[in-house]
Parts: sequence; C-alpha cells; structure tokens
Amino acid sequence: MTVNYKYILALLVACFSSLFAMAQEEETKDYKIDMILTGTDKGEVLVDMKAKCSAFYWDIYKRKAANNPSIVKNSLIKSFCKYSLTNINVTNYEMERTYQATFTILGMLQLEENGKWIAHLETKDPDITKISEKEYVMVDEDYARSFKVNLPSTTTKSKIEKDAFGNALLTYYAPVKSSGDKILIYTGYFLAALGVLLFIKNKFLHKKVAV
Amino acid sequence: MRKILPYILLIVGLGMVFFKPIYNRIAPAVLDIKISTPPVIMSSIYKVYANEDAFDGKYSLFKMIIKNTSNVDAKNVEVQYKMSNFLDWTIAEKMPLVLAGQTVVVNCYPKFPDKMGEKTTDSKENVKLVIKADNIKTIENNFTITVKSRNSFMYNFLPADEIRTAADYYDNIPLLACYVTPNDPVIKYYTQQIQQKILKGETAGVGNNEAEGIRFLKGIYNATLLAHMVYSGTSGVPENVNDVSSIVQNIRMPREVVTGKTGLCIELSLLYASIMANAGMDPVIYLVPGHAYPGFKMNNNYYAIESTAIGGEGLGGSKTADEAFDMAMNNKEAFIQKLQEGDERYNVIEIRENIKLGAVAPELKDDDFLRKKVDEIAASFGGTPTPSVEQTKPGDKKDDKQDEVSITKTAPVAPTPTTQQKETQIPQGYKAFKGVVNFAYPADWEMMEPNRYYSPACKNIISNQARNATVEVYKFTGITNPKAALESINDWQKKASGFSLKYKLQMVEEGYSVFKGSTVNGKSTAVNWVAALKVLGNDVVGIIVNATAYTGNTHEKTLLTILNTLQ
Repeated sequence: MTVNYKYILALLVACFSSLFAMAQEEETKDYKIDMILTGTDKGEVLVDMKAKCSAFYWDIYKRKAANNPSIVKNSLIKSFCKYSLTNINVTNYEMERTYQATFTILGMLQLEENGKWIAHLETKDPDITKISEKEYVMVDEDYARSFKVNLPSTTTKSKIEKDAFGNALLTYYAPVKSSGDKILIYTGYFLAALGVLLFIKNKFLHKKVAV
Repeated sequence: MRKILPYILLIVGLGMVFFKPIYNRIAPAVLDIKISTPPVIMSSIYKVYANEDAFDGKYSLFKMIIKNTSNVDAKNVEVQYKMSNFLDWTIAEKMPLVLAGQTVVVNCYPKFPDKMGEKTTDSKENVKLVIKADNIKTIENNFTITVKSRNSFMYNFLPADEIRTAADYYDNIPLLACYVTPNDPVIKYYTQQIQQKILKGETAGVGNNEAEGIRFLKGIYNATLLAHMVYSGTSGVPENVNDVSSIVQNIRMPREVVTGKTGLCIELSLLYASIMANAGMDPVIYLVPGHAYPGFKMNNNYYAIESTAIGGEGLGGSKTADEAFDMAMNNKEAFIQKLQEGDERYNVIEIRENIKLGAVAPELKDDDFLRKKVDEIAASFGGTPTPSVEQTKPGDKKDDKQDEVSITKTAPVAPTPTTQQKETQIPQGYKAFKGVVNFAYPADWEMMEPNRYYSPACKNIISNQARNATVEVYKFTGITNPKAALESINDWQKKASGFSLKYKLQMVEEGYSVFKGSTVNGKSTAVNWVAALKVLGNDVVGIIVNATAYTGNTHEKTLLTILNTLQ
C-alpha cells in the first residue's frame, strides 16, 4: 500500500506536463483524484484510481490521451518504474469528465521474516488518518487528492513509523501462512490431541475397571 | 486396534502439524526470473545510477522481476552482481522471505567509481548476476551492455514501439542537468574571472534584483564574445540500440567548451547554467525543436539570452549582448505560448529542480593545464566586447540603419538596462505615434475614442479593422507605481463591466515594467494583453497591447512589434 505522492501526481501530470511548467499557478486545483489501494496477502497492491478533471484539463486529456490509452498505460509504468504493473485498464467517462485507471502493482511491499510488511509513503509528514486496524485515509489538499488504503483482512498492529531518513512508513503484520496451511495445522493438532486423549483413556480408565 | 489407534492419531496429527515446515526445508523453491536492462549506461550520469531515489528510481543497471512459482517459500534470497572493469561482486538485494506465489522486484543501483566520469570512449561490459537462497538451486545469469563515453547523451531509453508522444522521445531531458557542473574547479575559476574582470562585482545570486541577474547573463555572453568563442552546430545522430531508437548527441562538458572555445547551442546553454549555478542563481535552459538557449528564473520571472548569437566570423558575425538578450526574450514569448498550448517539444529545464531530483554532475578534478587556458582566455576580459559583423540570418530584412545601430551598440554591459537608449525604428507598413509615449503601430489601424469601459487614464486607442487587436495609451496622473496603475484599471473594469484583470510581472526593461495578463470574466478569458508601463515624473505612462482571446496568437507578432518600438 505505498501511497506515493510523487507517483500519483506523475500519473496526471504525465498528461499535462508542459502545462505545469510555467505560468499556470492558478490552475493547479482543476482536478480531483480519489484512489483506493488494496493490499493482498501476497504483497500485491490493487489500485483503483479516479481522476475527475475540470473542463480545461479534460480537453487536454482528451486531446492527448483519451483516444490512445497506451499513453496513460506508459505514463503509469514510468511513474511506478521501480515496480511491475499488471492488469492495467483505463476507462473514460465523458459525461463525468473522469477517467478511471485500475492496475496491480507487484513488488511494492517489503516483507520481513517475522511477517511484518513495510510500505514506504515517500514523504516525511503525510496527512494520514487511521480509521481502523485495516483502513487508512490520506489526504493531500495541495493537489486535491485523497487515498483510501485497505490492508489485508488478517492485518494486526498496523501503524505509521519512520525510517532512518525520517521518511514515513506504514507497517503492519499479516500472517504469511495461507488458510490452507492453517487448516492442516489445526487438524493436525486436533488429531494429535485426540490420540493423546485415547491413549490416556486406554491406559488409565481400563486399569480402573480391572481393579 | 484400540491400542494402536491413539498412536496412529498422534503420528498423523503431528505429521500434519510439521509437514509444511519439514517440506519447506527439504523441497526446493522455484524462482522465475525476468531481467530488463537499459539500452546503454551513460557514464555522464553515473551518480544518478547510484541513487535509488533519483527520478523515482528510474535509472538502474537492471531491474529483475522474481516470481516464486513453487508452493514453497524461498528463504534468504540474495541477488548479487558484478560488472567487468567497474564493479566487483555487490549485493543488490537481500530478502528474508519470498512467499510461494509472491512477486518481488529488485532494482540495481550501482555505485560506479569516479573513473566512469572520465570515460571518453564507449566500451562493452559484461554484467554477471547470481541469485542465491537457502532452498533454491543457485541461478546464474549475465548480459553485456554498452557503457557510453561521458560525452554521449541518449535522449530516451524507451523501445521504439513504446514511444507515443514527443515527450517520450525526449524522456531523458532532465538528465541534461548532469552536464551542469557548478562545482567543477575549472568552471569555478572561470566564473571568478567573469565576476572580477567583466562584471567587476555582482550580487545576482544573493539579491533578488532581476536587473542584476540580467547584467550577469549579459556578462557571461560578453565573456564568450571576448574569448572569441564561436558557435558550432551539429545535430544528434539517430542510433539504434537493441529495440531502442534514440538521438544520441555528443555533448562536451562545460570545462571543455570554455577551453575549446566552441560550443553547440546545448553546450553553451549548459556552460551558462554552470556559471549561473556557481554564482548562486537559478538557471534554466529552454529547449525548442532543434535548438536550446539559456536563461534564469528570479522572483518567478523567466529571462533568456541567445547564447549562440556569438556566431563567429565564418557565420557572418555576432550580436551584442543586448541584442542577444532581446532576441531570446522575444523567442521566450513564443516559447511560453507553445508551452501553454501543450506542445511537448518545448521544454524548460529547471536546473536546480532537476539536481534536487537527483541529476548530479560527475566528479571533475582540478586541472592546472585547463586553469592556464582559462587565464589565457581571461586576459582578453579587460577589453570591450565587439561583435565582429552584424549576423544576418536568411530571411532577415534589415536596412542599413539597423546594421549601423547594432554595430554601435558595443559598449560594455551597463549596470542596469534602464540606462540604454534605443534608436527609433519605424518598421515598414507601420506609422509613428507620438504622445505621452512614442511607438509605431500598423498603418491600417484606426484611432478610436475611449468609451465608458475604459479607465479615464486611457488617452488613446488604436485598433485594427476587425476591432480584435488594440493598442491603448495610458497616462496615470499622480500614480508612481506601474502595479498601482494596473490596479486602478482593475478597479475601473470591475465597476464598469464586472471584468477583472489577472497579471504577472514578466520583466523590467529600459525603465518599463512589462506585465503579461488577461482580462477575465469569472473563469473565462476575454482578452489577453501585455502592458508596458513606466514611471515618468509623478505619473505612470505606457501602453497596453491586447487581442481578444478567441484570436489565439494571430496578432502576437504585430503586438510584439508595437512593443519593440515603444520608447
């Protein structure tokens, strides 16, 4: 669940890059981005991003990218160049002046041996709020962006930490064993316990009867 | 049966509990490896490769996607690499666990030795890779890669079939900032010579005085002129590396440009940027199709100079610093227009921004021989910069008088541009306006009477036949600040029509404060305009040239001509 400000900005800016460069200061809030990032127990991040544009930006987006979704795809790949992206889909909603991009990011989360997952937030002081153990909301008012972060259902002890350079990290624990493994283990414990009980019953209860 | 059943249950149960851990220990994991590499390694950016945060980690030696395709977790996975002649075995990444079915990505950010920054020829190098883990069979891999000389710059690394836009084609442009070398001892020394002998002291980097910044810019130009530096053009050479098709350009380091006394447009721009960055300024480079020119940013205003106007005798001569500055500032207007239209072939490289992003220059050592060359060059700095002959480009139409003007403008750079006087020139097809200010306007334009929508300060209006382009003459009595004058128009407009003004100071030139702005109604722009206003006694006088928004840049050239004739 890395919620990377730079990447998200780059996604939109990739389409409008030159416009940001000079003399457009008053226009920077003419879009709104909502993102839902969902983590899986295999360290994948599923992204669902919606960008609602002003008429001004929508015209530029249409001119540059709407008829050529590969431009958006390429800019996404470039923006997340450290990772691997799959299942990229881009849909345009003309009536709402919105485009939606969904994709899966591989390799974004680091796993430590003890089941601790680490996501780099790429910022020192994020405006992030913990809603529950498995849910965070991050807001970037400067660029009208909001991020909802869903951690895996097995998450425990999630919190915001800092790395050695003072950058914010979102860390949490999620068991690395699959549910199939657990069934196998619990069934094993059950059978072993049953065996012990039967052993006790055979050994002690039968002796009592004999006496 | 009753006796042995508990034992069976116990054994089966414990077997189920410990099956996976034991299986994981004895059964091997299987890792599927995919490696992607850049088409070449550019030695000029060797410090960028070392920084995983530079440009969001875009530039690496390789990127390895590892997928655990087995049912067994891979433990203590380690990726090591080595590159012939440059890198010994190094660990790229250590991962305690790669889950069955999990995909991880390893990016390699090598710390190349400083000798890579001195590389002046291309070479092919072999990279060896080893992937180890507790429970996998060691995987070995290797690839060869071309390491380019420090002077070879490749404009993109993208496969040809992935290029969709002009921006893609020039994807590596931010890396040009790696050729800006403010910390090069030779450039520092050269900068000191300019500061001492040409500028005779300067505060461009410490104050926010734009006039001082312009003086510094012109000072660098004069230094190149006095050193008889010449412009030499070359185009980039298209090169195919694997499936990547890119322009590869030979770019010399600024120290080589100074001592070699010749430079391409981009090389001269990088030299200017290095000197300005060394002096603490905020340099920029404007890139347009086939050309580049330098400038700086101060107080959010952008300035430029045509560094290649030094030309050379073989090219028909050179221009004065003032002319080179005016030429570039005019071009900059068109540049901004293109930028606002979203033309991705037009780029402005903000050097400090890109250095912050990780574009760090190679480590360059001090060199006595080059210092002596700088001394020889600086010996000429005491003179007066004299352009050899007026440079004429094909298509330029200039009369004899114009040539005379440009040749006579060979005085050393003035402390402020406001002290310079411009000879009146009436372009062909224009006629003179003489009043509170003097300028020329198209001969077929007509005088109009100001109506109630115009501020009382508006004295004359001259408009084209279609009434969609206008020059307005103003005199603001009792106002001694150009910005206050514009605010008085803004107040008037709000009352008279509900429209308001949005504007920004672009520059201060020859006493005039030049503002670029628009008249807006809510979010829609009605008129785009440029105001040139100056303080005259206790008043502000000047003109505003404008065109209705729907005409786009149709009238741009005419309006610029009017502004250029303003006195």
